[in-house]
Amino acid sequence: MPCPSSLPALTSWHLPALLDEAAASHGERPFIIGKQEITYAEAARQTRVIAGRLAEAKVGRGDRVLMVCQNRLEMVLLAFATLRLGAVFVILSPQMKPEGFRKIFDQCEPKLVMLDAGTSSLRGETGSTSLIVPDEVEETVEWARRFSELLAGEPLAAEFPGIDQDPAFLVFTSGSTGTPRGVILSHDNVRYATAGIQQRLGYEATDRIGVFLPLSFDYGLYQLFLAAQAGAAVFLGQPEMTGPELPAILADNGITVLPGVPTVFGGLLKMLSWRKRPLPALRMATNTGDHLPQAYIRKLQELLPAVQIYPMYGLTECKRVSILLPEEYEQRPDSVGRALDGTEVFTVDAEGNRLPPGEVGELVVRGRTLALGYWRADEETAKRYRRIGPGRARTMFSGDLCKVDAEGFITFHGRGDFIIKHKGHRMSPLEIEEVACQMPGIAAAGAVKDETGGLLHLFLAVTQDEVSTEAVIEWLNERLERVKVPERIHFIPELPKTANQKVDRKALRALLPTA
Amino acid sequence: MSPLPPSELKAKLEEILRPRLRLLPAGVPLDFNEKLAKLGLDSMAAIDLLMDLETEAGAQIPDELLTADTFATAQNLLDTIEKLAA
Repeated sequence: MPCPSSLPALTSWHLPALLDEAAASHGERPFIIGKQEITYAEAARQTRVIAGRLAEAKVGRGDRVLMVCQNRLEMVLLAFATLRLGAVFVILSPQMKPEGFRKIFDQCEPKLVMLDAGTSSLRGETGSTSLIVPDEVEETVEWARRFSELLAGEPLAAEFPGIDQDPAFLVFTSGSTGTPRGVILSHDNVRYATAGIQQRLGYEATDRIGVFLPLSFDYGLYQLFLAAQAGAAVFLGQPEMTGPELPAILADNGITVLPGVPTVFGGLLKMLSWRKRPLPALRMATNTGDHLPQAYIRKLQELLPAVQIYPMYGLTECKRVSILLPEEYEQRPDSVGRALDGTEVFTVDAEGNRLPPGEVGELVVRGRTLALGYWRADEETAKRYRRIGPGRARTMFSGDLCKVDAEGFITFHGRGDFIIKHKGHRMSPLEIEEVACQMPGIAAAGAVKDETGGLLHLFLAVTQDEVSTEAVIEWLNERLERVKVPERIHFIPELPKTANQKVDRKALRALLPTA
Repeated sequence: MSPLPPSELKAKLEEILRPRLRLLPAGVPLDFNEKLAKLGLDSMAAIDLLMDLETEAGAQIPDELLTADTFATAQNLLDTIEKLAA
């Protein structure tokens, strides 16, 4: 019998420790670079101080802290300070409109909300909740505390009060009903996924990761954890920087790793084809959010031969499922790779029975990356996460049709549910249709994505002729995040319906212009 | 292609811009000082805009001017192109 004292200490695998470990091993290295900069040691120190102020404001284990800002250092610091208290942070898109914000705010009931200059108009929706703004908000604010006030005083003395199964943050995604749903990620979920991704990607301490994805998008957010694990630097950019200026930003800042979605790579390719420019530092590009067309991969290889490309597949509900390695690409250009180590994937038939390798079915996932569920939505949680098979293992139903071959390589065969992926965002057509139907004069609405053209189309049946395309776009733009506003509007006399009177999306897709 | 004379440039710029500003209703005049992002120009559309400016308006915008600021408003674009032609 081994002597009990020889057992290794049980470790709690939480996120504050990830930052503290980075501060211990890479303290003087930069954590955040760009317009605002900070080292790991300083980030660890400042987040302890901020946590001290939050504790005084009665933020404690399990409480929510909501942030609606563009990518900025204050948001990173507030997120880690929140985690130190065992509280839960939620980052929302700065494009959020009051209506959508309200739905999420009411679900979260946050103790604290941080807004910035671009989102300060949302304060009308926050009731009596305490507000914080970064100091750069120009007007004299009476309605909020300035961020710098949190940076003064004694650091939090208490250690992490929870366990690693506690929720760390919520990531809001379109739910299957049109109501946004918060995926609850535990500390252990995030650390396990981060380690699994790092095992494949191998970020190094010298890497400079160009983050142009919003931190409200989980793969943007995870760059913070991936960087901390490796001691790498995060160049905290903005989604708006992925236009004509992107090649110059990548070159001038010595970006070595570019996590993106297909539209980011599409834009980069367009710019580099239009105007050749070497990007000598760039060594790795990772794609998520949507399928990276093979034509893009070939073109990237041609224009940036030194860059290794990693197609990936996943859902917020378990973060990352699989990554395809560059050396595996030539043999399996259609695949999105093998599941992360410690994660099991297979396909099931419509009854939930396990299918043999090579058969197309709904992809299901098991392992420690599976999120805790959806925030305050037991029904949707029970649908997504089920216990199947003799071992009753918790299993996530992806809703995606895939094939898994005998060696574990996954090929994507289409979306089983009707969720739309557009510009890297997952959205429910119901949310767009619901908002459209609230407009006077609109009788029925159906949203579909044209997968070849990459545009979002909205079909409308009207009760009066005066409704114009411009008016519809204006209506939608006031109520939806910009990415959800369809690029094309079509007026048709009547929307095709299925037998059970739902919008027939298949028939709508047939109406898409072919040009 | 040689640069357009200033008198034609402004009209040409608006002609190239308008179809890319999907939040600007037809018939509403383009405010040259309004943020283009607010009028619906996203980063992808900005790239197409750059290509059109260079092929159709004879502008050659050097790398160091490919900044967010250059593409912030129609007026900034106009100023940039005029300065380059001067």
